[in-house]
Amino acid sequence: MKAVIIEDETAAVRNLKAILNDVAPDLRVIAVLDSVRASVEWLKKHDHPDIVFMDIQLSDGESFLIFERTEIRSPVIFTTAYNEYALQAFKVNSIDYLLKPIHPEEVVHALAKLKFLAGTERDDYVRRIANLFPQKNYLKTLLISYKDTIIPVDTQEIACFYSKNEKVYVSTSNQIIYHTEKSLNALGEILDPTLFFRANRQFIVSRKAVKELNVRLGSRLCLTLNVETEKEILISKERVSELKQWLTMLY
Amino acid sequence: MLVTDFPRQGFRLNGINMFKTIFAGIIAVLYGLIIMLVYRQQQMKIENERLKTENLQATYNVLTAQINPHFFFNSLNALSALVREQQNEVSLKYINELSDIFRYVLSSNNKTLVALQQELSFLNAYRYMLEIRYENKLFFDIHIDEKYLQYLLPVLSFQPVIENIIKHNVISEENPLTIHIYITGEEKLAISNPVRPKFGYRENTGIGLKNLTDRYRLLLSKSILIENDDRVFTVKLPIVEKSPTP
Repeated sequence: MKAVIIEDETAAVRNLKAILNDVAPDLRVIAVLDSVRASVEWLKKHDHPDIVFMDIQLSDGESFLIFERTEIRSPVIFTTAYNEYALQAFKVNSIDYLLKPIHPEEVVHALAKLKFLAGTERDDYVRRIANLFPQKNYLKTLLISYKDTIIPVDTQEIACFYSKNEKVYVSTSNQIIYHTEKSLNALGEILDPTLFFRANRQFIVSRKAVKELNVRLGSRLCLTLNVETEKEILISKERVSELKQWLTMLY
Repeated sequence: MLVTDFPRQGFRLNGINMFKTIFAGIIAVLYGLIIMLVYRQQQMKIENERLKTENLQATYNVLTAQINPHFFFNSLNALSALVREQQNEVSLKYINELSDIFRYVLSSNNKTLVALQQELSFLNAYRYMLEIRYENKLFFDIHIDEKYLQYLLPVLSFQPVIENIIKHNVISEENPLTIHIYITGEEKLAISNPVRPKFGYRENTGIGLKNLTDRYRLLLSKSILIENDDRVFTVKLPIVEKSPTP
């Protein structure tokens, strides 16, 4: 059996590994991940293991964010020191969890239960967890209608969205400009917030397109993109720190 | 005669009335002043009471935050690891440090200002545990000149600042975090860290820091300084050579 441990405290990983070594010698820990980002990356690249042990508080945020960003096809056993809300949800949905300090007997019990779950029951368990933390599907491809043609534009290729004369335009990284029927507010809802930022009323910018920030009078900032924009993208004083946080976020 | 007397009497009456009016006015103003003074004094009393309650609340919050279940169980979980690995010496030291932490916290409710030295020995115990829990991920870099060791600051000043840092920043293998502690030119105790926001945390100053601000105001009539240039987050705590005379 293969297992993955998702946990940010070094000592907690060592504790769980030592317990598993004792109670389930046939179980092999094939990866230890300590952040949401590392977990999502790993799960996208590898075959999913037979079991995942997952702490709720990870180094870069709560582990529930992993479910929002990728599908986990393995049964998950949660571990937590204390989290009343989560425990309540686990109990209601009969999802297995281990309280820290972890008791070896509880691990034996949880593993035995999963071992005896038949195929459909196992799928059902995985689905119950997935339902608890629905995956957020952000827009990957924007469809642009141009006369009788529909052009798919990958959001990765988009430098910014802007409004002008009550119409919304899309500017791609190779300087092509399209018109879209979607409003900036609607786009704000469906674009991945780690990749796109609402700079002001007229602009949504892509992180990849940000070239530099220029300081303007009154602690305002002017955002310069890799592509040319018709207007300056001004960031109000109030939103400067939010912008910087978005830019430095480790995603 | 009678007729001519009337206005004169009326005038005299008016004069008396005016005098009475002015007198009454002065009395009223005086009363007003007295009432205002009494009111102000009462307001000050209320304010003082409020600050006292806030201090109690702040101390209480620090206590509950320190012995919060998360901290408690995670600490024990790490200890389990040490025991399971049969690291006897380390386990014993860990138990001692953990006991020191709890003892310091429990005795803090009848302390107000303490010497920096005491806070530093608490910090060392706290640091020992955190460096085991986050081995190879969390580091401390402490530079305090000996001459500041007897300076005073409110009890449990370090704890909320460190907890705030751990709560809001990424501490991972890929991004280890070092907390720097030093004395600034203006004789302030600085605790700083590189800013690495966790996902989903917008606010950068927590309740812990607000409590500390309140306690500083109450105990030293000073404010703590929080600087954040989006790259480095620094909390500067005033330290004093002598206890202020009340």
